[in-house]
Amino acid sequence: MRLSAPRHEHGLRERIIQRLIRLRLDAVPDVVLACQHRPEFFGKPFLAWIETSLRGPSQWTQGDRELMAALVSDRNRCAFCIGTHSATASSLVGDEMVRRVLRADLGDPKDDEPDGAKISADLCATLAFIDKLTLSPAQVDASDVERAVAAGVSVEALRDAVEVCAAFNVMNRVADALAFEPQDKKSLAFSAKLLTTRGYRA
Amino acid sequence: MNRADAKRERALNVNGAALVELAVLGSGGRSDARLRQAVVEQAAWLAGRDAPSPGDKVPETLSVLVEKVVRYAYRVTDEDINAAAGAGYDENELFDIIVAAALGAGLARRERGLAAISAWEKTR
Repeated sequence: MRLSAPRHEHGLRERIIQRLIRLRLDAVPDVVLACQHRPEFFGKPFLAWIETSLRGPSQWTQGDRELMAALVSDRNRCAFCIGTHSATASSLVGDEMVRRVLRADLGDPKDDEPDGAKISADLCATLAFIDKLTLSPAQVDASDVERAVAAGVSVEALRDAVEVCAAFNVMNRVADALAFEPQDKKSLAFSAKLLTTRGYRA
Repeated sequence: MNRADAKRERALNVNGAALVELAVLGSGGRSDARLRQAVVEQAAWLAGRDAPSPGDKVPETLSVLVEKVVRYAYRVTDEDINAAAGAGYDENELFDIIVAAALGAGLARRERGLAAISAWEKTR
């Protein structure tokens, strides 16, 4: 990570948590260090927003929302977040589904996909919506909403996806501007397990 | 946040993004609060917020870094950070500025997405 302040300046509670993580991993993931640096300034409210968006009540499953997080991270070319959220999504919906979402053109879902990796029409349309919202936010308008609704997405579900999209547009930028070190395999497995069982609350 | 606060927050249905913005603009920052506000506004505008240009309230020595964080954060380099540090910003201030720029980029997307949904609802 680029700045030494978020790497080293932490309170007692945060240092204890980091010590516990070091019992399991060679290094504390940079995202943890950054969110625990002056947590009241950013990390705590931000993780609360993420927790509500990715784990709170929604028509989307946790797996759907992790796929959205992975897709936004992919469009922002954020290697760190692609790693974490692909691994987390994989543990919920399987590797093949994640691969399909990240390389998909997000047109109409094809009928010949194997069942396990079929992206439902509503999820597909929602992924296309947040893809555009990430890459060309000022071009998104009511016609994009109309397309999603026509594919079976409710307005509430679309609002939930906007929150995921917005939050990851923040995180991807913090991760890349601070140059978070991509996690190794063991670290990714640890994060995926923690995020699927305990969520994001710090 | 303790459990009672969390419960109250849910009861009030306070929006998560608004709470992040309050915190980033609030007393927990280590940089000038007006600078943080200017960076959030500039970043949101660069990212497509539907508002008039906020003008040039972000100092020129930071504007390259802010713009890179908004447009293509994966291209930020050590040199960009060093240039901003060379202009007199310490590490904690730079952390604030990066977070503020990232937040502005996210808020603009949230606003655009929700505005499109409201616009669609009005057509019904």
